[in-house]
Amino acid sequence: MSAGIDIRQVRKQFGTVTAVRDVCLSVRAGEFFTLLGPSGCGKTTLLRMVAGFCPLDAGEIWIGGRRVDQIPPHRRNTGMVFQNYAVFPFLSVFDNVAYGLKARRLPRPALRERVERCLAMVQLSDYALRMPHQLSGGQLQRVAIARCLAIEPEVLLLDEPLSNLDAKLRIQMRSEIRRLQQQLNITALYVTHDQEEALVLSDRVAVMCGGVIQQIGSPSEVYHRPTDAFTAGFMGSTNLLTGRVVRHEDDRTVVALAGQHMRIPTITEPVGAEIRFCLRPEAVRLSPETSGQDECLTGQIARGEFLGASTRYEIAVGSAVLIAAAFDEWPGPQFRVGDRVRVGYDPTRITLLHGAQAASVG
Amino acid sequence: MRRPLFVPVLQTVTFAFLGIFLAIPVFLVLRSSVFTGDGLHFTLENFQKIFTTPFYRAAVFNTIQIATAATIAALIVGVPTAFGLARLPIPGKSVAVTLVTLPLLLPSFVSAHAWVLLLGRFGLISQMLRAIGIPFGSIYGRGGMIFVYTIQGFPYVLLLVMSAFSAIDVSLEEAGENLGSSSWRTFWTVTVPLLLPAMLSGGLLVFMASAENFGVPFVLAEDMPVLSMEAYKLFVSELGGNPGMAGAMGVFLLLCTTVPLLIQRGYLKRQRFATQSRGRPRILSVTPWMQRLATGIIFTVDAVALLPFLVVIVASFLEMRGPVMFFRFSLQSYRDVFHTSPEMITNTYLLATLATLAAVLLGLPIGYLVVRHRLRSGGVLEVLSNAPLAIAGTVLGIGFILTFNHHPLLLTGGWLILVLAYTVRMLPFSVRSAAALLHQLDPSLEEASINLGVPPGRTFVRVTARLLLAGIVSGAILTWVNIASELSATVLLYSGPWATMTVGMFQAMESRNMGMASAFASILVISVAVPLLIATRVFGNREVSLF
Repeated sequence: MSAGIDIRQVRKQFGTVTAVRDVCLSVRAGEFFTLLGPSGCGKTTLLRMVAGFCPLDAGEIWIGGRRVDQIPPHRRNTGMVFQNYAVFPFLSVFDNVAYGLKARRLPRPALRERVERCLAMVQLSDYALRMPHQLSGGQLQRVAIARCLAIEPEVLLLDEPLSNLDAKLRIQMRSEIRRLQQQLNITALYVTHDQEEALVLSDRVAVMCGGVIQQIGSPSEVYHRPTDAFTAGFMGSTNLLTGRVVRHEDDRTVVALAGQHMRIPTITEPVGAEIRFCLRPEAVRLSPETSGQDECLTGQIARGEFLGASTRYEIAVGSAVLIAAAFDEWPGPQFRVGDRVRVGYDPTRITLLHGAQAASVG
Repeated sequence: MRRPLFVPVLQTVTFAFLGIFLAIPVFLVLRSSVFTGDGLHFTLENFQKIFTTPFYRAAVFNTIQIATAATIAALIVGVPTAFGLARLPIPGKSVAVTLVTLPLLLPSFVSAHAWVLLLGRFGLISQMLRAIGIPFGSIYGRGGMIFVYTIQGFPYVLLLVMSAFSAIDVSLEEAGENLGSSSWRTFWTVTVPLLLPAMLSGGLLVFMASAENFGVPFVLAEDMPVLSMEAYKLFVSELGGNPGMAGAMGVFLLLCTTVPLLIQRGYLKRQRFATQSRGRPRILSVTPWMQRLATGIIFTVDAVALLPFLVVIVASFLEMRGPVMFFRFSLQSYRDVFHTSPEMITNTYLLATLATLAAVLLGLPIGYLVVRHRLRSGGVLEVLSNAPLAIAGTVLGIGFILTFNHHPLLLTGGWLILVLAYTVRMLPFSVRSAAALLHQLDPSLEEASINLGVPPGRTFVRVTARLLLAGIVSGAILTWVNIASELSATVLLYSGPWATMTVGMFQAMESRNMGMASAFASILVISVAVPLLIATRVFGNREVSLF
């Protein structure tokens, strides 16, 4: 019953704003695929186009080998979970879950059996006769999910389903959503602006910005190997650095950064070219100036913020500022503002970036 | 997604309906005012006559003067009362609010009639005043009309201003005080400007209702000319002769209602405050004396507003000879009603029910488009569906007769013409109440239903309509109430077998049979009160928009 989604050259214009700009992507059958991006990046518009609530200006959408973009939403057989649940307040939990089945004229015994099975899946069997106003936010979300699963949709569409829940419930619900999706082996297209949610849940993530997909990849790919500055910046904090190629060595390229030299994996850019690259703060190691290390820069601690599990340091390296995350410092931060430090790094953790756009998320 | 078929269909239906039953009749009124009797030659004679005849000039002047005075008086009564009810510690507040809205259910000419029973030449209070030596004439004339319009109109001001008071974001006032402004200064510099749009809307409603009113001048004006009465008299007495003068009077009546409406719309367009209530409005602490004084004033206002109800019902059970009341219990008035014209009661019920159904069935989908398709067709539909607000009942009535007096649409003399006129008059009301309800509705509920496989049309019935049911029923009852008390268009459009209770009252008053008028009024009031009480019971005491 699960099917892949094929989005081909899809475009949507709202007035002068292009919300979705010639997007192509294909979601494999049974895959958990996340559209990740800041608000206004077009991710919800794209999801609503798959559901059929937003007409396309150009392009095609295919679900499981069937072209759907001209089919009205009620005949697409997608199951959508809304941000605010959208549970019908005048129907009991049972009738909410049965709603789509009644539209499909399922015979009574089969309907009853299906509703009960779906309620059991979301652990709401005991709540069948309750009315929505008697349920908590988390329970309402389960009703919304059970209601979608009941119609056995070809794909599950989830529009920021966790954003109305409190932090603890959000973590619990997201693992439950993942468990159900894997258990039923159903294709899921998930929209969120929360990068952690995207990393935890997804088989693959598409990072979107300004109506364009910046990068598609597995969670670890988009986190560790961002291809562009936006993705690098959006997926957690990072050091976005600009340097100039000095020379090529055997297996390294030497880059000048604020008057000091860094060694990065070999690149093809010619000597003298300006390049942009990134380095995650947790891949930066700080050590006292006296200790010796091969690949390092020297700098001075400009700022330290104790975050509990780690300490976030800002280090002035010449005119550049690097951030480093130091974990498990016992009994407290090891460096003070003004300390001179060696800034060590693993060259393989450095990723070259394309394009000039940078996210303001740091 | 294809555009659902029902959008263009509904648009066409609305345009056709308002075109045939609003635009054409109004156009024919305008046309008749500038053409000679035979309809062949353009002439400004009618307008010239109005400007040169002192009697007609007085009609224009009186109408504007009385409506303006009533508007000012209603604001003077309504705004402080609203302030008291919203911000002062008044015991029995919810009772006071309920009582004060009751005059809205009382047809204005019934109210006028009740005040005649009290303050007319043979009125109860007039006689008492004379007995103790105070020379009191009667309520008839200018002052009396202003008085009745004020009593009938101030609840509009009060309700609007009160809801504006409770919608004010308290933090705005707190910000004012935090920035060093005294609470008195904050009230004038922050609170009052935020209330201004509500005051304006309330004032406008009073002005329009007073300017176009037909029943009150019929009861109270005597020989003093006002526009609606003169237009009616000119049209009725010259039917088949020259309706041009009536049309010209109608044009002035139209100006009286449209010009203030346009001014208000223009003003509100420039003043847009999004007030979102964050906290409950503060109840001010005042001295016990102030509290007692405010409570006293508010319940006095309540009492004055309620008096007509009591008077009419009591009077209907008393013996009456013409306008003179005797304090003996009698069912004669009711016997008269049930013997001579029982069909008027059933006619009112039948016509009001039909027109309510039509108004709701048309208003709900239009309201839906207004809210959900704001950018596409909604805006045009909103303006169109509000247009009847500015058309006085008398003008609409004359227009209907001019339009539907001949083939292909011969409707005069039947029941349908009344139902259609009521539907047109009530459309703004039902569209607005549907739109207000829909604004609170979460669109994703409908999307969820469609996503689960129910097509848009059926989703509208099964989800949208279902969610709105309580609101629709309360709105329908209020529509029914308003139709049942309609007089100005009815009195022009009814024909013998289709006379309604309001016509019955009209005729009874014409023949000075105050007893029968009171009996009709009481039946009307009770017919109106019972469904409202049932609705409040069934749906709880939810906020019902009365206009």
